[in-house]
Amino acid sequence: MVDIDERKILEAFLEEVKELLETLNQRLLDLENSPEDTDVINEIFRLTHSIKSESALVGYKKISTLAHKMEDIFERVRRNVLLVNTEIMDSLFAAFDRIMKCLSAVENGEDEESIDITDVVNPLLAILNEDAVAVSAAPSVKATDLPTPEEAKEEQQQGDGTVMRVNTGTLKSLDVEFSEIEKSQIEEAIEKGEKLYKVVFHIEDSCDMKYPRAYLVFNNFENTVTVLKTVPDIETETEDAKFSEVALYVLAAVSIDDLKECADVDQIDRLDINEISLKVAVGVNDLLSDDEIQKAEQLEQAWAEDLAKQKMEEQIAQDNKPQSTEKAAPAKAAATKAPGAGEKIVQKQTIRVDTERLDELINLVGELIINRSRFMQISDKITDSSSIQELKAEIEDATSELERISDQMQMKMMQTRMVPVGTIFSKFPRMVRDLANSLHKNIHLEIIGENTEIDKTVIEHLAEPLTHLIRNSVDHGVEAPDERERKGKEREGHVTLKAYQEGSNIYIEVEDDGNGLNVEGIKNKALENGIVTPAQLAGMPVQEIYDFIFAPGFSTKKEISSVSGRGVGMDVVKTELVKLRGRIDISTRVGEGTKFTIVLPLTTTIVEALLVNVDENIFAIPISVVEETLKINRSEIKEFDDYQVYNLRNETLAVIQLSDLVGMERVKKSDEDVYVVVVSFEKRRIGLIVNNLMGDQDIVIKGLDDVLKNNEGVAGAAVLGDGRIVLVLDTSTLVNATLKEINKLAHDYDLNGDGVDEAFTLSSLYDNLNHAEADNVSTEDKKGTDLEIKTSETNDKKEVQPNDDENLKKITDMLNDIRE
Amino acid sequence: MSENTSATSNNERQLILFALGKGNYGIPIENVFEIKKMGEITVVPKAPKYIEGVINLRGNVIPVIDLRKRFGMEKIEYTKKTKTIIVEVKKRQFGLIVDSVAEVVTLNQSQIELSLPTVSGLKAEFINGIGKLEDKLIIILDITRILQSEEDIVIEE
Repeated sequence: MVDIDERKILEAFLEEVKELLETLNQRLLDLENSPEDTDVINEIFRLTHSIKSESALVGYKKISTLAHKMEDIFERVRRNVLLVNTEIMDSLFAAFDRIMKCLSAVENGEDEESIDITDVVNPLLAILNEDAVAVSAAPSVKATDLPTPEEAKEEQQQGDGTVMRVNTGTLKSLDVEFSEIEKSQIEEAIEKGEKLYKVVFHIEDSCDMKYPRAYLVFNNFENTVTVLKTVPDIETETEDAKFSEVALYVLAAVSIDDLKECADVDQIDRLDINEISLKVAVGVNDLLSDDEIQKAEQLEQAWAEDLAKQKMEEQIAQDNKPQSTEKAAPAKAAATKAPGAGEKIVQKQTIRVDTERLDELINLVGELIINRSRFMQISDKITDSSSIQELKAEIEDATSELERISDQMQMKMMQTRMVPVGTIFSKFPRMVRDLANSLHKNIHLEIIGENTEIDKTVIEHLAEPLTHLIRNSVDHGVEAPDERERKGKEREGHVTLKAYQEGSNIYIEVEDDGNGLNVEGIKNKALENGIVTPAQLAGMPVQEIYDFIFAPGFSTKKEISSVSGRGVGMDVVKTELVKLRGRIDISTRVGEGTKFTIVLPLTTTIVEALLVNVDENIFAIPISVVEETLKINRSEIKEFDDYQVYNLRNETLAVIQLSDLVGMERVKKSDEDVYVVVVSFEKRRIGLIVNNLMGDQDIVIKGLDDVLKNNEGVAGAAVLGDGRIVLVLDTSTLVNATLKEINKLAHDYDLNGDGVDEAFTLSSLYDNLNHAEADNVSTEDKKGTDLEIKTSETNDKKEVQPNDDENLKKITDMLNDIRE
Repeated sequence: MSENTSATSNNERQLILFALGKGNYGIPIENVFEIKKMGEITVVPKAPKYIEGVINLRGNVIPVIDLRKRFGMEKIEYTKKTKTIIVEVKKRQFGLIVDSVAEVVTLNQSQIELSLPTVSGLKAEFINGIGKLEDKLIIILDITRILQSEEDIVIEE
């Protein structure tokens, strides 16, 4: 277990650094496009500096080393001493990736020490003309090693570019007197394994606010270590002139590096850190010879080190003990170096909400409270003798106010869950760059509409499908530059990632100007994989042929590339999207390009639904799957054993009693008027027979308790305004179940030997049965979204799908026979 | 052990007493959320047979269990006395339909017999003890176990 304080620090660190890295990634890509943009260079410099400081503060030396070296490079780029080229960019990206790797290790509770960074640090050092780190060297890297006891000099880059000279060493004499109280404090601290240092920092002569600056540094130290004394006394003196050089006497349990970190403030140009031994401090050294002092010091040091080591082990062993003081917490976190090692730091699901939105919500809550008191007033009036009419008007007024407030609150509350798609889009430029490079293609990725907002839960599941789609476009879509030239296209290929909102849906398009889908190739592959029969293929609309690319293990590319082409991926796209109640459409033109359009609902919890009545019960059907409703007489339905068909404008529609579908008892009457709700899912239609329609309503879907989870057809429940509960149907499950049943039925029919001429019926009846013809399926067609929750069903469906069609046709034939 | 066993500080246990057939049963008060009159129950198709359906408890949809059905007892018509005890078990809420709710009683640990092999056919694992109050025997149910178990529980009347 990690200490709570420490965990908080880590969580904050992870969140902060991730954000910095995201921006850094973006800026690095910008830099590649415009290598001389000083704004970009400056921003990168600031970003790397921040990442370095942040990670050093919590003790992640590898991350901070990498960031530090990147910072050094940009310090030179800034001064025009160094010019970025592809080689440098590659090294920087490699370092960036390694930081990400370290970070994810930290997140997974692993030690960043397990990750070797020498192979990416060395190229950076080479760029800086610094000595390479031996690959065989100990995990930690030179730049972050504790300074040796001897004099060590080091230059440290400040955020503003000033150079800080750092001297470290030991002091043999003292120019101040400690009071008796201070002396005993020192003795006590050293006994505990702490060390006494004299820290002297010098503020740049040009700095015109020396006292505040000195105070800032003093404050940093105060937060990390015990400051015994300052010269000049920072608590009493305030004159700027006296503070060009300040000496601090501190008792510290932290390393010299951490002390340096405290002085890592702009405009500090020199820092001397000297250790003072106990003997020197308490003034007993004059009586002993140098030799004796040295021996004693060595002993003391060994002893102190032992103690410190012991302490550290203790700390690692039982990291859950609360840290002594809050003040010391960051320092201790740094001292243990790998806080929380061995335990996964599960980041809490947090969301950043625009304060403006929160303010609006708070205002609404205020209004709600006023509204509440108004209702209380009304109830008081009821006891008085006001007229019913008056009260009615009053209540109506107050109610409509409540309605407005609650509607707005609902909307605003939903908005707090919305995050811009840009948060996932931002990783794609880098991905496209790397992919294009490795494939020797020249590709420009254009991103449009990154501010489009979408529900946070949806966005998290979107990253993977989009990665596959973009990868597919880069690898399969866009041609090699030479090939493009031959075709009279620009050498540079274009991939566009575009997001926009329309109505209650979010559209995300991945479009390339490449070769387009190869219909013949897909057909052949589908036949080869045995997904379809030649007969089925004959009358199949081209749109359905395109859909085969989402089948598992489907790839038309002849050679397997490292990028994509193994046939994994595209099926993931579909399954993930179905989970989100979304769908994907393809439009393609041979030689001109392909466009994938993902359609997603704005949110996953509030759904507009059609309420229907079945006997005593009310069910809700998501309106997005409802195509139309019909009022018919039951006698118009043709029965075939347990299965029923209805002739809808000369097309055969399989219909089923909703009560049968959800497993309820049917109250059967033969000649009543009933309603048929035609629902469609993935281009398949089915009619649900219900007793009555009750109109549509926005409902909030609530999950059912686990004991009720065995009903696949029910997605959840919703509470209506009058308190009644309705069950929300999971339509796709229902439709799939139906088609499976029909399939079974047709199979039985086949066994009876009454089969008809297959080849003839299949091709001639196909169009008749397949209502969604190719040209109807476009991005404007919004009917595919559905309440799909169970994914296993979709996989299932893939296997039965082709047969369903076949069997539906057989049933139609049978019906034709019957009619004749 | 389930949370039912958490005793009050001074070794006393407070129980909600209810009747089911001829038997007296108790549920530790810390499991009880509230007691409601019978309201409208929405049937959920394909639900386990002892689940009557779901009810709306202040906007939350919670399953209700007919304890008579759960214990294989004969079904009777709901009366005015029929109540739904809303219990909370592991953060999940359930309604339990019982014949009637009597009172809240406080039993001292000494009034509770802990280990009995079976009581009227009810396995020991579903019982948290037998309480004695005056001349009445109160079967204290381990409601967590009962709700989590899928096996048929039969009480002989």
